[in-house]
Amino acid sequence: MRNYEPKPLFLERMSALLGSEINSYLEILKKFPVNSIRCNTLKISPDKLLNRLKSKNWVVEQPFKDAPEVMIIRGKIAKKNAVNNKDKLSDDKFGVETYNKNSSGWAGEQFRETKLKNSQREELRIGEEVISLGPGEIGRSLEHLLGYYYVQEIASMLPVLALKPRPGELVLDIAAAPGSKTTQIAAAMKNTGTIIANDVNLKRLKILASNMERCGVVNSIITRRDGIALCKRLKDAGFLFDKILVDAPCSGEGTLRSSPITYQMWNIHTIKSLSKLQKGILASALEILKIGGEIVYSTCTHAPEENEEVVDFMLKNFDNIKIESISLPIKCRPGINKWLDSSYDKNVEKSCRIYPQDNDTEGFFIAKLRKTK
Amino acid sequence: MIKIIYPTKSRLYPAFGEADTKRNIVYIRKDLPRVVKSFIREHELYHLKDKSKNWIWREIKSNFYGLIKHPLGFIVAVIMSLQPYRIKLYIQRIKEKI
Repeated sequence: MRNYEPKPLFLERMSALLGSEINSYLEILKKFPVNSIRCNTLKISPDKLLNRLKSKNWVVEQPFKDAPEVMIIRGKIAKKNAVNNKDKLSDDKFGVETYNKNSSGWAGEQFRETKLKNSQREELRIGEEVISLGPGEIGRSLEHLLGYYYVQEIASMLPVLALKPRPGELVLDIAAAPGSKTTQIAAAMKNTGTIIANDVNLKRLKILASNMERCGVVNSIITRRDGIALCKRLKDAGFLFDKILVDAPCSGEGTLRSSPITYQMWNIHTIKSLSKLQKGILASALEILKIGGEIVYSTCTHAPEENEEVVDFMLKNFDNIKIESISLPIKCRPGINKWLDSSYDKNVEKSCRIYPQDNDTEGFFIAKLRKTK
Repeated sequence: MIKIIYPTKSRLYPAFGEADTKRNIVYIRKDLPRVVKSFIREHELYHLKDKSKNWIWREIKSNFYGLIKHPLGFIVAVIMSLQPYRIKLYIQRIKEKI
């Protein structure tokens, strides 16, 4: 049984943020997140990948017209009688827990609910049905091994969509591992220019390196440094970047759907200490940004101390930056101005809050800053 | 006409080569040693003319053809394939094809 209860203080804070929407928020947290992938355009075009995946009987959806590389795997087509036993066996074998829609938590009895569009239902033939993919099936497929796609949550693709890296630019990714966003940046830059991909954790850096090799990324330099120390060193060496992605370490409130264990790890002291660290990283990053360059600051948490407060700190302490509006293909809510006893700069509203219940994704926060002088 | 293209490692990794039977194009990784490239070329060229349906049988035949033409290349390719990422690729291919 995989049933985690949110801590009372967490519930209290989320209620203060969401008001009457707290129930729909808590409800969506119980649901398994959708399986989303990003086509690695360095190796294959979205159309070709789509055909390959369809030939494997996978039900694939491209939710955004402007970003065809983003795909959702709804399940796979299988014959009705043969499937149930086989699937049940594989689920038992791996001890996988699936979400039981009739109960309030996670249970191992029922299969995951597969949502399909009407057009997809019409494609099914008599005697066929769509079942959810087996555990780890997306990550074990040949196409994944060949680097044709990267398993990545939709919300996690958004910071790079906001950053809009262009071919030939010099980009810094301060907390790069395990490499989802770095490989996305490399794809957007068509393997030209240079990306400096940094992380402090060696284990995670190994995963980053292997992902970059798998995805065919060749325009990157991997460094292992503390984010603030790296910025200082780069500044001393005279580096100036066109774009910087600060996907800061955070308390992870937005990832509760995929890792409910965050409920247990959550505490207010971590949020406060992370907030200080995030301010330090962002302020250091600003020093190595070109004039006219852009920083995208993102976290996978809802805590305003780690989001608006950090952006507010930057706006109040540096007069050479301004916050930019972001247009993203999913529903975003503006940043908040007031939180508990604190009030933030009005421009903080230009940042973007993504809640799981709005788009059936994970939760995220994104803000884009531009250096003006 | 058959076209042979030598792309960079990043385009084909973890594979050594690829045969596009529809367009008659053979892709061979540029970074491989010369003997291995020769072996892979023969291997992939055999794929272009081979019409058998069974994947494993097809691979056995083209490996054998490459072995006859470039025995040293075959041996080096086997040694190079004893790496975890290559073994993983073989296991996955076999799993998916069976």
